Amino acid sequence: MRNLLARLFLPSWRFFDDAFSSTVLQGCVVSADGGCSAWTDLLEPPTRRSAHLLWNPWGNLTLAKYSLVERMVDEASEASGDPAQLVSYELVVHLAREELRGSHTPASTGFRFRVVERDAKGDSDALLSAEHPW
Amino acid sequence: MSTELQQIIRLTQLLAGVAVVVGTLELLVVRRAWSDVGIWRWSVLRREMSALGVLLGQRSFTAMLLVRLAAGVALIAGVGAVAPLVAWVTSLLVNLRFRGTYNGGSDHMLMIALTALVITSAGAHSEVVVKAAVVWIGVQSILSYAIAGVAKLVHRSWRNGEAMRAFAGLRAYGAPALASKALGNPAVARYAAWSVLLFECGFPAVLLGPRVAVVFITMAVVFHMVNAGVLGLNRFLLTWAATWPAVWHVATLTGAR
Repeated sequence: MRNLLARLFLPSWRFFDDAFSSTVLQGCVVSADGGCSAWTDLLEPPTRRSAHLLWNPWGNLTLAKYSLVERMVDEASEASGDPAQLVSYELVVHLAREELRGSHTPASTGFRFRVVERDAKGDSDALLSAEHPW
Repeated sequence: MSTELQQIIRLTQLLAGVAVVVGTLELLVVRRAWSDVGIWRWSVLRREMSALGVLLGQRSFTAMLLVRLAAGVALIAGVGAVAPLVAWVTSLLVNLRFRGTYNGGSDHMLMIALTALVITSAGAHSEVVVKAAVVWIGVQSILSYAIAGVAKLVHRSWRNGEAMRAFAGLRAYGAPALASKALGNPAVARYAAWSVLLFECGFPAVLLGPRVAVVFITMAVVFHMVNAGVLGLNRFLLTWAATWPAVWHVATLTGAR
């Protein structure tokens, strides 16, 4: 709780100083034989309309999802134990499940997700999940 | 208390109220995301904040958002002495529900504005206390621009414009194709980047006085509207707008009229 309050009341104000790497959440569907489908980016870019100048609930939700993934990576890198025990990891499991819902087939047994750091040189794995059931 | 200071506080209340109302309505629209079947479900979050279950479980969180909405409306209308405190408490709880903040910097700045409004409300009998609270909002706002500007200035990619192009390409923001195409031109990207750098790093010049402050606040309106239009950061526009009256007040204290 103390960390949550510190996060809220001690802003850094360092906005948008690094644009060259982004954290990307990808997912795949696991089939009965244990194979994984192709990895796909899970968070679609929000669409933009003029009304979004003042009212942008879905765009802000997308940004909150990105923040959640970034925070999970930060917490996983700081954690000494299994990242799967983190609250943020469990939230991302639900996020990935929701984003992959359209890819769910009766033949699939579950899904996996991974987080990659994307920059001009390409993608590098930051975190790879185990298989999670639907 | 001077009429001018009263007007500054009233305007801050009004603008902070708009930010509270819009932010709350946006959360109600996306309620599935924090419901019992959503991403930020209470069954997971309670592991680290079980003591707040009475307030942050799905049903109570919905009720709490409605209370926050009412507090925001009261701030806009300028009624209810406890409105700033209710808005502050409910905003704090919303941020805790999302493990810190929901939308980063805009939530930080809204908490700063609301904290100051609580102080102005509680310490209304003391002009010194009220003035200090308003100055605190103004200083935080000035610092937010200056620190963000300097943090960018040290990066070569900002100085040569590449960072602008990179931001327009980030999936999280979904920048319009027109903006991405324009920033694909190195000269346009460099011009845009230096516009941001000069505006943000130069913002402390508001301390020279109200006339300079009006110029920079006008630029801030344009800056935040472009950010909202291109990057979808509407909450930054609404929240920082609530700080501009205080910035102007600070300028009247530090500079020549």
